[in-house]
Amino acid sequence: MPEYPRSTDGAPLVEVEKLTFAYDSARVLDVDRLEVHRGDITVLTGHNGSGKTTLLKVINGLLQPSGGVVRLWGESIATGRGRRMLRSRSVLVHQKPYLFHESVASNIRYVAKLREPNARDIEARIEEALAVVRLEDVAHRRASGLSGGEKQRIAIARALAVRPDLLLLDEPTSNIDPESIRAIERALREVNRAGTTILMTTHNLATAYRLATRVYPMTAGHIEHDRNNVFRGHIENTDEYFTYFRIGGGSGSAGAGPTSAATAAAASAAAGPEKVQATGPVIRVPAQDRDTVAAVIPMDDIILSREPFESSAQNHFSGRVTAIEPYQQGRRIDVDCDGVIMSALITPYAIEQLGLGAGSEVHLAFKASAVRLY
Amino acid sequence: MGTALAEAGALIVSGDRELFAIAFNSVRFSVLSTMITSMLAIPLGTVIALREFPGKRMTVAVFNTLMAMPTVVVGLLVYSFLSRSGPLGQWGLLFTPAAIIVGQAVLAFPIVTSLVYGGLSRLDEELTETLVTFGASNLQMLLKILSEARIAILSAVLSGFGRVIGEVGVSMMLGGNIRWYTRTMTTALALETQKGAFALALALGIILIIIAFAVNAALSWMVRREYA
Amino acid sequence: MRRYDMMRGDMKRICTAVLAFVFVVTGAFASGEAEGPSSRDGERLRLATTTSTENSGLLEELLPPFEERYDVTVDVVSVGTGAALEHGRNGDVDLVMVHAPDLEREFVGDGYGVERIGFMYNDFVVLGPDDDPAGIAGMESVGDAFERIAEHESMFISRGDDSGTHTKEKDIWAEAGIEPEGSWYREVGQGMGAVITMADDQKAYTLADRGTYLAYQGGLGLDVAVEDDPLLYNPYSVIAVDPQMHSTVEHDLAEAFIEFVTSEEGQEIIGDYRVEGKQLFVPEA
Repeated sequence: MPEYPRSTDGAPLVEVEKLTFAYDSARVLDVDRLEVHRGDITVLTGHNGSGKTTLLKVINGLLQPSGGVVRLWGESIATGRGRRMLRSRSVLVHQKPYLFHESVASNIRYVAKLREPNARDIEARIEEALAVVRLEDVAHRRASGLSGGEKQRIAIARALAVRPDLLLLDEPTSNIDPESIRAIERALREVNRAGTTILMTTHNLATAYRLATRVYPMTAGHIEHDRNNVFRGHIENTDEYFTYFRIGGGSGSAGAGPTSAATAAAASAAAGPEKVQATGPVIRVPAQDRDTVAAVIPMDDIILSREPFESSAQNHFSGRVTAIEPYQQGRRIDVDCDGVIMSALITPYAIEQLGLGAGSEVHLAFKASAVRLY
Repeated sequence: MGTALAEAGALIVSGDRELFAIAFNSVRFSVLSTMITSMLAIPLGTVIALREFPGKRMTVAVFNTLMAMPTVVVGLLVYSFLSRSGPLGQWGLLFTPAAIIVGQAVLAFPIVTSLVYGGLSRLDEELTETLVTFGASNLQMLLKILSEARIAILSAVLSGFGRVIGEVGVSMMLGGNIRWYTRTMTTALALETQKGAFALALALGIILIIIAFAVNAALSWMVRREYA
Repeated sequence: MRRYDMMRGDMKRICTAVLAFVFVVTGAFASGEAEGPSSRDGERLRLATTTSTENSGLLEELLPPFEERYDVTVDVVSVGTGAALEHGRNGDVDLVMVHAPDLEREFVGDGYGVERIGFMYNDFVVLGPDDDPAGIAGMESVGDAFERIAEHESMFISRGDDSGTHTKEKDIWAEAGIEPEGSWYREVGQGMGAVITMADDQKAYTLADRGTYLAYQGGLGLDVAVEDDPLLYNPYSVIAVDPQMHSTVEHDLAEAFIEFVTSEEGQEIIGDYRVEGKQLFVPEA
């Protein structure tokens, strides 16, 4: 394979700028900016018709944008060089994937040979790709006879067999069985750890928050900022009333964009070993019994105070303000609580009233029921 | 009529030479005409399905209409070309097997074209996009699309075959129903019925039905095998 | 639906290959020959005749000796009288064998045929149901018989297809001075065999050529009601297509064929031809 320019640190692998797309003069996409960094799992969430599939297809060159530019590795995909890079290093898996009317192995073999006609290890790749999605035993079955979940997994295996640097997935876990969802999440985590950057859409928030390093909600063709704090961690124990979730082992992005302190903290945390650190704070959540990797707390649900205070809220923390940034109509306040950044959204008026600035000591609280575990 | 049926059975079982010569000729003409028409209609149907061009909807509508063209009209049309007084008269094709084959090919052409177009345009859009995303070249894409539509294409071809093996207007007008030469099952059927030779006519009818059944059985077997 | 801009150069190449293949196959085919006992490597003579002539089975006796002698295959195209003459006009056949004197005269008069050569005749018969509702059985004048059918409004089935038989039927109605119309008179536009079957089924009268009637006779509830009126005379002739009109015709072979059917040998075959033990044609060269 020819040597392509490696992205320098911090330079985005995917860069979307002022992108618009219109169907019959109706504008369905209007994205000011989107960046996907190397090693990320970036997830676009939103309802049907929010434009996430269109955005994915434009990024994969399947749809021509009405305006704006998509860059991969710094090269616009409208150029011949960018297009070649797009077709040799990235691949898209459809929500309703099309499997060829032949065996599973032939499906994978065909695309592997398209990309690399002279590859000698194709049979090994087929086995390897099927192993990643936990479907080793269907290689010789006809693809058309598989269940919906199995088809989706085979489509992902087929995409992985060409060893893409960038994997685009449209709703990989919608309308399929729970076992397939688990298998797909595990497979995506695995290939991401091995170096594949992933950009995917989903309306399944569990999938989004379990996998994502960044989540961008989409509405009406626009990319929004996520209004949630996302923390990776694990359940420590559960009693009669509460489940105790320990934050640690790397926190997810707060979706605040690449410049935010939260992301920087998340990035440094993610750089550590994958084992869970037992040092992070514990959050109380209404008692539940589920396999959980992430806690999600809406930034809107966090209350701030200069003084320690008592309330019915089950989670109280204190820390220092590290940053105050404009965030949509309000302000986002990032607070460092024992090494974990918690962000709250408040109005400029409240900031003034509380007299908050960088370094201010602050107390925050949120209800147990405001927390979602995924 | 009961005795005619028994005689028909006897004719088939005994392997009556003329009966089988006629059946063989019929199949030969229809296979050849279907092959020739397929070689033109499959590419055309593919182009109509996969390319955007002005007048595309009109073209599709015209081909759909031509599917129902009466055989006699096709026969007359081709006759006016192949007759000694027609533009291609010097080829001397009229009342030869070649004339039947040309006529049947013309008859089947809109059918195969239309059905190939229909089969290809029913393919999921995801197929093309999947091929694009994996970086298939135009030729690779075309071949894979045809391969994915193979059952639809095959059934288009078999529909064309079914139409020509059972038609009488073209064979009669262009072939002339010449014994041992251009007589086909259907023209013989028409002749024998008129002569009151119901046994031979019935035997021919039975063979026609068997062939039609075999073709359909083969098709449904392939579809089942494909989508089981 | 969006499609990709595929197959520009590829398509052109494929089309060229396909077209080349088509021509090869067609060419290979056109040079091929059909199998069968009478297919020979020799020349082919194209004879257009009427369906009823072919249906009579006479040609199967008459042609083989000729084909043998001249090492030729006679391709018999049997169609309606009008179509047979039209094929002659277009030069698509080398000679015609028909039985419609007026049309034949016109054909020759227009310069398409060389000459009308009468070589045999048979006759028409009026067929009617066993119980003969119009009471015409045994009448000598076919005109009177038709008049009576019209009076009784007994059902009559007409070919209605401008065939030789239909032309003859119209001549008889004209002779009787009747313009047939009404629910009893049915023009069905079908061949002789079909018309006989319908008349049998509907217990109706009809006009038929004797040959077809004899071929159908077994199992019919129809009898010959009127025959032997000179008006029912049905002469057959052969006409070679004029080579000055169409240079491609096999004129020498056509002349040889005419010579054969008018020869003693040909005339004998015609006179000896029997269907169900009955003579069908009378030689008259």
